[in-house]
Amino acid sequence: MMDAATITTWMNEIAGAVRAERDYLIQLDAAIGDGDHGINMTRGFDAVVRALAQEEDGTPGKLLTLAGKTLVSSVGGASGPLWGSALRRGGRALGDAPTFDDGKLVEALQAALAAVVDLGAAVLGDKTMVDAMDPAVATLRREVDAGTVLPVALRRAAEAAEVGMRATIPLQARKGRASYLGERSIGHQDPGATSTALIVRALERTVAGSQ
Amino acid sequence: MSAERRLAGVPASPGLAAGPARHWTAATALDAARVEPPERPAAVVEANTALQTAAAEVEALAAGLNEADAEILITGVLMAADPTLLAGVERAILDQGLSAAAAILSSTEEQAALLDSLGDEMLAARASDVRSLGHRAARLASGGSDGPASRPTEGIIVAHDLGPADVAELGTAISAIALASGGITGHAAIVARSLGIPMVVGVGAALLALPEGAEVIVDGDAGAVLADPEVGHFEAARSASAARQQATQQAKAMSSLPAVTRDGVRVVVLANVAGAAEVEAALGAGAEGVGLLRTELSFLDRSSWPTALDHRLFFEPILAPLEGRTATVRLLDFGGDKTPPFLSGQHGRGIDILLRHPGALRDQLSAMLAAGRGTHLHVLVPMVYEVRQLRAVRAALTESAAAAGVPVPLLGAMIEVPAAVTLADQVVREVDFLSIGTNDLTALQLGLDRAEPGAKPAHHPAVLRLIDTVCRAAHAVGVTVAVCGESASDPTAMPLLLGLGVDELSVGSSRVGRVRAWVRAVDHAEATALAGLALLAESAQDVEKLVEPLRTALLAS
Repeated sequence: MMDAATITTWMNEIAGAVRAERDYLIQLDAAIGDGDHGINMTRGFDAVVRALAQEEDGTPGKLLTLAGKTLVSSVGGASGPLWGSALRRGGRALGDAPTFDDGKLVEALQAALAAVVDLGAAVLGDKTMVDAMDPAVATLRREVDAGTVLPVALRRAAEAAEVGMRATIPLQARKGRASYLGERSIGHQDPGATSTALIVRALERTVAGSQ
Repeated sequence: MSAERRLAGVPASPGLAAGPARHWTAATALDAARVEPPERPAAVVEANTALQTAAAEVEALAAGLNEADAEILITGVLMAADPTLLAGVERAILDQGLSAAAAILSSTEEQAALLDSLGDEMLAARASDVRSLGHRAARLASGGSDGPASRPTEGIIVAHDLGPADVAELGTAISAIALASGGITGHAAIVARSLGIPMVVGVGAALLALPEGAEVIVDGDAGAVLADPEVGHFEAARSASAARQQATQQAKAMSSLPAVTRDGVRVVVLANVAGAAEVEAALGAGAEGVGLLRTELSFLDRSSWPTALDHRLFFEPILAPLEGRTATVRLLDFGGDKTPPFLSGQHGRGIDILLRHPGALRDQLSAMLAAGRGTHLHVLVPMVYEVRQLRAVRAALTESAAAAGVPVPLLGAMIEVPAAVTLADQVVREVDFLSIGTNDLTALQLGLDRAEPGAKPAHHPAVLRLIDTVCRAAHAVGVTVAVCGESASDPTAMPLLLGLGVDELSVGSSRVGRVRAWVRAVDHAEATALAGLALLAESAQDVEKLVEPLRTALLAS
């Protein structure tokens, strides 16, 4: 079973990961966007960590919702609204329970993916964060349904996210700022898909570390 | 079975309504009895008193009421004391033995007919006001038996003509108004619109032939009255009218519920008004105060600047009910399509014009400071594009407040010119609050003619980015941001405004209840996410797609 500490640790892990990869994300984004993705993600998840630190006690659902809300209000560009809505929707899916199990985690991530797809109107192959998120959620669902233990299921999900991330390289962007480049977006890895892979990997570390 | 008949008129106030026709015959049922010669002098006195009382009544009602100009009404009132009219009344009584009421009616009708015959729209509107005054005085003279209590209080009001004061008195309990005549410049129509009552004018004499209580439909959008309506039409119109009344009732019932989003963010909902009737309606629907009082509309046909006394008469009935509440008064915003005769040929708009006439500015400031003593007075400067203007107003305001012995009210700038957004970092340091006029801002930003019909999408990303800039600059120094344009009550734009960080919404008084309900249906964080994405959208259509699910949810709330 997972609880509020899982959420807090996950957010700390994400903040650490995007800070470590900040320059890499900036570099990827500079090639096909406006170069602020690394800055935005770092600023956003630092704000999340601060907000959660002030939350004495909260259910996992409430904490994830708060994390989303913080991202929405502290990050410019599309990543704040999209990741913020995703985490809020995920938080709502967790409900008010003090703990949650593997199935509930899958539900929450599926809700988060749905939020991104709804808002961004992006589908697989548009060269967006969906390209990493969709295979990760699908893999996690399949593994959990088959009875795979969660740390292993999450490792496979993270690998799927990274495959999806790399698969964005030959794609032409059809959404967001990168789409302005048309064919010139081909040959570059999508920064949104990259940070998404980091976020899934952070969840894997969180769960592996607690078991 | 009778066939549905369509009586075509002119649309005056939108909305569909159905109900029983209620004739407001307005003192036409006259005693034909002759007054005996010995009693005639007493009847003359009675008639004069009735005219004076009616004039006082209209003056009191009108001072607060009109989005149209008080000047015209006051002219109607002056006509009540006009020697020609009085002489006519006197002759009709002394020579012909008419009763006081009959003499008043025939003399005012004579005056009105004369004005009508001149073929001038403005004067035709005055004719309506004179008739309305005559009817009022005649009622008083015939013993006041047709006083407010015995007037129709529900259904579809059918009359030859009504003055704006009459419409205000009828209030929002009635379903609709249909007039056989009615000036096209329609002061009554302006009041009906601001109260949200559907109205059709110029329907013709056939309207007055409808039997009392007959079921009719008023279509304020198409400008028609349907007599003997088909059952289906009637039911559709009646449910529209019931829904509108229910919305008003509901707004009243929910007026005590706070305007707080689902996730706990408080939003201040204020009203845009130009008269006292709207203040009453807005407060009834739960408005916390007034976010925009338009002060110039009453003075548009003036031949000279309004005096301090004119301003006092305008402000008092409007500001009195706002004691203890926010009262945001916008300084005279003349110019453009709001240029009165005495300013014709002058260039500029809004505060530029006023600053060229410091005496006029002082008169308005001192009047609002005196009349607004008990309110939380906010002074709003129109058409600001540089800080020099704000400094000049603050200097005048500080001086006037010292002279009146009152604290200096809060000072704010209207943000409606893109230049003010470009200079937002400077503007915010000179003010206590900002109010974004999205109508002008959208038109100017997108190069659209404000007066032309057609879409003025405040949710266009180019406009949203301006609003975003304003909110960021203002919040960085703790200045609140209001929006007082149409967009504040538009279901597409309104959640985006909240998402961008707008603190206060100021909307037409008939929309206060609806907007408060929307606020309660919005999740502020969701709105913030949508706004963030809307800033990145490429067109108004893209933004519409983004907001569509939330918009649908709001409209269903």
